[in-house]
Amino acid sequence: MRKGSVLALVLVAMLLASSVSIFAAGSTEQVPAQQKSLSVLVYITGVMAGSPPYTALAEGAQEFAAANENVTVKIYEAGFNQAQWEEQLTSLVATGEYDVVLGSNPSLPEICERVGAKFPKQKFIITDAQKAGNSQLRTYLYNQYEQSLYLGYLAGLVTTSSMKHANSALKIGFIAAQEYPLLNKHMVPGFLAGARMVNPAIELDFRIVGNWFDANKAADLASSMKTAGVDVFAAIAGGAAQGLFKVAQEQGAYIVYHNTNEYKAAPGYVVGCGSMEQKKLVKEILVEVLAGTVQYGTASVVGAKEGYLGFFFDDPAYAANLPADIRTKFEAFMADVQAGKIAYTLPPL
Amino acid sequence: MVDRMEKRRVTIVATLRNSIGAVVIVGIALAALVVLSLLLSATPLKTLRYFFLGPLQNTYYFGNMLNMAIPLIFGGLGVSLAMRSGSFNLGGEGQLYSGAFVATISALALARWGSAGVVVALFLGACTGGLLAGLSGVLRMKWNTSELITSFLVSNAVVLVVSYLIAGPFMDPATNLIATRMIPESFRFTRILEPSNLSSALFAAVIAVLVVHLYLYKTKSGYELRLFGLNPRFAAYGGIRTKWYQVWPMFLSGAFYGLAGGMAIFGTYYACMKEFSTGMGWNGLAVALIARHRPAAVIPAALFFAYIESGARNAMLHSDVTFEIASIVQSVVFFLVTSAVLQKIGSVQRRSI
Repeated sequence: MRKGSVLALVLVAMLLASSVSIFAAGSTEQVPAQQKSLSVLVYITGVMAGSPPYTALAEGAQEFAAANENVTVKIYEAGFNQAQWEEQLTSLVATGEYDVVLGSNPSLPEICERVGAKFPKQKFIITDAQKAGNSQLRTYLYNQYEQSLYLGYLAGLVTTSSMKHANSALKIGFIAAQEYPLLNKHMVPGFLAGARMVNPAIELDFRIVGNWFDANKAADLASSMKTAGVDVFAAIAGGAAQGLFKVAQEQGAYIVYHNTNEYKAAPGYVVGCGSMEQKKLVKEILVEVLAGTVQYGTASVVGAKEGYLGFFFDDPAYAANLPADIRTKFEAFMADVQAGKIAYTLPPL
Repeated sequence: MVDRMEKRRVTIVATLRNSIGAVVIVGIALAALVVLSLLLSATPLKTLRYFFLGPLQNTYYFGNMLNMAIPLIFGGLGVSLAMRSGSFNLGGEGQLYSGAFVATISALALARWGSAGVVVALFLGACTGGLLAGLSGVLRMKWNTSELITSFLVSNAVVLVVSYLIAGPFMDPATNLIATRMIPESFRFTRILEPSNLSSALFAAVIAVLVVHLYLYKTKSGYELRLFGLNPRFAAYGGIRTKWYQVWPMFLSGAFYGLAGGMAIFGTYYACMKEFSTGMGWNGLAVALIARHRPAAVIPAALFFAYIESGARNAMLHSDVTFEIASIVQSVVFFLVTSAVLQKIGSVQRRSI
């Protein structure tokens, strides 16, 4: 064997020996004893960056833990590969370290059911999802039909108005990252139904990006829709929505946005933003968990009437971007929604 | 008798010396991991403990680690076959993904066929990967285009097409995941180490290694393939159909990738989810490079890669590091396996077919 080879082998052996000694030392490492009365795993199906609902989920849990010394929280970002979500969740649950898993995604109940079958004592609480009848699972579904209904109503008011970029075509648009039951059965129908409460002749142009990040494709779609007569858009497209903001500013179109305050994303063009009180809901859930009063096996629908969905009226951009007559009509409509005076049938998921 | 023993001893020594480069690469990669943990983690000892011991601490993690190695073994075999013939297949990502997709929809269509349906579906998945890679071989044979470039470009396009099909016409309307419908239960491989995901696909992977080894070293076609890979002109002079060996190894390479995809679906996922296989194709390439295109060495190389990934996942689950640390270690391995200097450390300077 050549001299160089021998030296290389000796080097590697030394490095491995040092690493072995280090991890051997680590094996005796002691975790400080803590009195944990509640251990919460916040399971993020994606990443928090760029996702206000996930950020609110994590922050809500962390703020609750900060206010309660006996509560510990681990935030776990599972990434975008859906195929790995179940295995990662299983690995975490298998440790037996968590009293409850907290998540927010419509697809989580089916994954939790499969994981829960292997670990019958594990409890899961999922927001933005719906599944009743499993004693390990508690779900809270935001009434996205309702939010889409009032945002659609606002879109209807704008598209039929004489605002600068509103055209004569009675056409509004919806750009989605992907199709899924909640979107197809609640959000899109609710958006159109709301607009048609203003004018029954309004049509909806619905397009799919195919992923949550391709802003260029979303821009192409928005541009095409704008050419086809769309003057007010909604989007459930994650990072891809940046393409819509760009087109709206360059070509002149209005946007109503679900769940988060995005007035600044396209100043002057985002005319309304719905709100979702994820943080509030999370804290209330954890109070119930701590008190042991969670009704597992049940599914709740929470909306504007219950105070979990709303609208960012207090942002100055709202008053600046919309004429007074539209604001008056919309605020009256919102008041009716919050009072439960607007009749609609929530489609089954 | 003495001659045979001496020949065997020489072979073993040569094999060991040829493996020194791979050992050095693995050692440097692990050393990089130690350094990264010391730099990036607030609890480096805990991180390293979970990284090194995590995959072995119980049957769940151990089984999942082995399961992770299965598509890497198939992919590594595919790349090895192509490289032995002097070709370079960079289209593993698309070939694996499309093979998985075709195997899935075939299983859904052949739900009543039972065991025969499993074989047919996997065969169709393998053929899909094979045809995609074989196309690059045909282009090379006809117009001398670089199969390295064409396989890569075709793969990139195919990934987009398959993603469209999964998210569009073939998406299961009953799920919130971007996935096809689940394959019938009768098509799913038996789990052999519950509660882990390890399935009987492991046996298929081991058999595949044996088959490829026997093909390469015990058949006339395998001999011709290796000869063509070493010296196409000499092979032509010897009467070997050189055009055939520009296409056939590429087809086989893609077929193994396609089979890897089918195995992943039938053994682990049961439905083809959008972009579920991201990275598997490239990792198969790295496995083949570490194994230096020797089928028998693909198994330890795949296990090493699976160990790295599984260890990183464990460290992420139990300590404060992110999954990127695994990506960095894998990147180090990728970088080093392309180093001719490291690869040749200790190797016998004798070319053999």
